[in-house]
Amino acid sequence: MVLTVLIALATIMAVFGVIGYLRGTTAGLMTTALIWGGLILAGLYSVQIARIVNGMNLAVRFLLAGGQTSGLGAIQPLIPSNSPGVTLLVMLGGSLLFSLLLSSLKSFRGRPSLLGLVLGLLNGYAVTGALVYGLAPDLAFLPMPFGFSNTTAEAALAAPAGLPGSDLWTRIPDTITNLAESPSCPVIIAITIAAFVFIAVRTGNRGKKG
Amino acid sequence: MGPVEIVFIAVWVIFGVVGIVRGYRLELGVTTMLLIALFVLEFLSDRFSAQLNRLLTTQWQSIISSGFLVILTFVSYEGETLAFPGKGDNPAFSLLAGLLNGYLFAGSLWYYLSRANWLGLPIDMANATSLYQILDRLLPPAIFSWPYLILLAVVMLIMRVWK
Repeated sequence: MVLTVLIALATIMAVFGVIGYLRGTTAGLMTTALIWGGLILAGLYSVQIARIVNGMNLAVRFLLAGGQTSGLGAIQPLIPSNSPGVTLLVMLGGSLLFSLLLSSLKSFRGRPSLLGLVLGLLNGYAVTGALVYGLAPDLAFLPMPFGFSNTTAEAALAAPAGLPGSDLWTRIPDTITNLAESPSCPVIIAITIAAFVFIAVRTGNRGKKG
Repeated sequence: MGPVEIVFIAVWVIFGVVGIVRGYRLELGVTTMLLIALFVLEFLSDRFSAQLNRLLTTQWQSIISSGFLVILTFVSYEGETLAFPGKGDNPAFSLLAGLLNGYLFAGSLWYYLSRANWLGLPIDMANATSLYQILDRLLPPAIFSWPYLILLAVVMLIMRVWK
């Protein structure tokens, strides 16, 4: 399993490295700040972040229920208490999403650069480390700063079982297996491929004419 | 058993990265060649299975299929490229086209190598993970029969010449 983590580490670092190189230094610095900032916050203030996210969830449910308080007590928290692994994953997802949105802005676009590559590799390491801590804490052997000690990893070990809707993860393989065995599977995949090729080629041609 | 599927997922992801670097117009040319190669392999194994079985063992058929696929992919990437029309590079399309090629190449290679008993490598098939079992059912040769492959190849060629 250690080998699996190392292969995943190399792959994710390679992907982030190439993306960092292509996007340039400015976008790389912004992404690094967001990802590492998110990790620092998750490491230092995981309890407070979980409380904020759960509070926001409760507030949204309250609004959706039209201000009725009945039944609010039965709502399961989105992030179980004492689950720094889940908090870390939430922060990582938020950071990646935010950096993706920001990097689409013109001011963050730049020329390919070597510093961007280095920053991308650094981000790839952070993302892999955080994913391993969050998803498989027993395999979290990658050194991580900012409070992600062994105790953090041990506490996160129980996290996936407490996640609301965790049975979803057991249903996904069954759904995929059923889909693969269905006679409509090749038709669906073939249509998807053909649609993708059509959209890609027609969009490219339209750009050429314009 | 873990690293087998992880290695192929890594190859798949690397194809996605290669797609971003090369651009979707070049990648779709490789897709066309991969679809034609898979069509040839599947058509031969479907229509000439009796003759092939007399000549070669299943393992050797799979090894030759893998070799054919590797050589054709190398030639597609390295040689004269069947570039698709269009202007500019859309990173999202390029990534998707690269991932599609990775699925067709790495997935097919996985399929043929597993049928060749992984060339004698000490891989314990009895203890395959659930991820391996799921992905094994989604590999291109396991899903697509040759009519689908030739149909997709024809669609690709029509897109190539469509003004």
